Amino acid sequence: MKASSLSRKNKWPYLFIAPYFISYGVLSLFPIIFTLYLSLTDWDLYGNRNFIGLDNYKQLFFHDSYFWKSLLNVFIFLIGYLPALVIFGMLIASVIESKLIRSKTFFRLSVFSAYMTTPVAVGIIFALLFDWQGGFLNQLFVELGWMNQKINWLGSAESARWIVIMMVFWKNLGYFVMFYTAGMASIDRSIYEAAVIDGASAKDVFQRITMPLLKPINLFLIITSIISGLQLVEEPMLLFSGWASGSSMVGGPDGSTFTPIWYMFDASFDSSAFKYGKGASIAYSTFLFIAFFSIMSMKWFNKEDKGR
Amino acid sequence: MKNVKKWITVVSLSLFCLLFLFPFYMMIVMGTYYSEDLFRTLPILPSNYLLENLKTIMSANFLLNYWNSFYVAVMFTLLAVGVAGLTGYAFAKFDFKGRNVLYGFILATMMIPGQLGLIAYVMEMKWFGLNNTHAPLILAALNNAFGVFFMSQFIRSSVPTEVIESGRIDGCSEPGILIRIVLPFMLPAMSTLGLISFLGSWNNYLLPLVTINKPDLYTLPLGIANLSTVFRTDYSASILGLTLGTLPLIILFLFGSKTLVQGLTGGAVKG
Repeated sequence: MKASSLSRKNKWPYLFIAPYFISYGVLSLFPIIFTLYLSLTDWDLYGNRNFIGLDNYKQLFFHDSYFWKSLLNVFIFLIGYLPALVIFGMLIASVIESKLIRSKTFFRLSVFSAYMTTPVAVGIIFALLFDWQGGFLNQLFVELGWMNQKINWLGSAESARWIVIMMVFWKNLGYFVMFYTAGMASIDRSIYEAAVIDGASAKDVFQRITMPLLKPINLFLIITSIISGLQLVEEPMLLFSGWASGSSMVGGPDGSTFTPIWYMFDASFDSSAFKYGKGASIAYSTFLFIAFFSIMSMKWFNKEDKGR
Repeated sequence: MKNVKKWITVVSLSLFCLLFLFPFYMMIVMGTYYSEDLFRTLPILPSNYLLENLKTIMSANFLLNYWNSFYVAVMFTLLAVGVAGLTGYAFAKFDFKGRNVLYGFILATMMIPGQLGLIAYVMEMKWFGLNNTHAPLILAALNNAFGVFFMSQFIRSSVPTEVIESGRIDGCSEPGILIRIVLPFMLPAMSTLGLISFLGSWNNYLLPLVTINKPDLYTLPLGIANLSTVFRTDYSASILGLTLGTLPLIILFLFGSKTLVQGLTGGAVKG
């Protein structure tokens, strides 16, 4: 299709795209490239500006257990919440979309509300729930007699990880349900009717029709979850900001909820270090992992497609 | 039999949703207590201290945080939608040299996560003398490859080329065509993109955290995160602040959720 009859040398399209490309160059492209340069220096707040080659990366990959721990953490979280999000997302979406439920909007909105909540507030709300002395759950369980002593949920590495997993699950379930409902609504009704006439059970219909047709959505959700999951930061940061108990803890107990981007922030802005070079190398290393794992999962999906 | 199954489904879904909404409920209820009572009794039902807590909150500059967030989000949204609309229109309806290469560039940059250049962006803003202003938060709207892609897809499929042509025949200037003829067609996509942009700006925490350290300039997420320092002794007042900072926007957005959902799911569901 010919887009327009104007001559290809017309100046207007260039004038229309100029603001975007100029601002992109100054405000995005330059910072991205300059961050790459920073990652090769020992740049900090106190005047160091030396080019040190790959030293930051060597330090990070071979001598920094914190970096590996933070990466391991985000993968543990992903393994914890992603399958649950996919399963519960589909289940709840299919129940909401089924003929059994009448007030669809109410249910859709109630699971969606957590997704609208500021990540900062999500972290704090969970800190209020699980706090040791003043936490709601501890008080509730003691009152009901289920526990005879308050448990320091946020104080142990294992339970802290579970809380982060629950928190991300709580926040993102609405997002998954929303995509699945949109996908289910776009499936042609007549396919279902034909299947039912042919004597297919509800389980068959779900496995043989709904699941395969939702595949592009699963691909999208899983890849975007990997990308955003590796960048997780605000929720665990605020969970341990000391909002509830009063004392903050970088990385949670024993660094069990430390994440790469949190590390980037801590190295470049938060601690007394202000090591921009180190922070920049954490940023680039993390994005290498993000790129690697999103390409891997895309490949895996495509291979499965051909296998059918 | 059918009836039993229906009831089980409805009841279990309802229970799940109640459990899901429980953290919000807890937050609201805890904000109505007198701080000391919060630890003495189990705060299940609302108490009677709401107005006192409200007074405490209003005495701090919590409203100012609201205003800052609102102002920044509006400017951010206008900038994001305006530039994306302009650029998207050029890519959708003009044939010009370098179009495909530049559009490919935009698609490629869509894959780059926003945090990658953050450290240098913050330094750059400092060099421009823009730290401790709202400018870094608003200018971030210009890094919007998704917006350009979204607008361009929409304009390509929903704005008829004929109306643009007829505008040209009538002697209308190119900016005139864009504003008078094309803009009305673009409004649905612009409102969707606007909602997404508004939400993104409103919820942003990390960028203001590293560019702003004057409490007068705090946006809401920063204000919320700092409530516990401001009301060190008044636990329930800060929880009420959390409620006030969280709920109104959720409610507001639930009204616009249809547009928002369409915008968020549009690309993926068709693909």
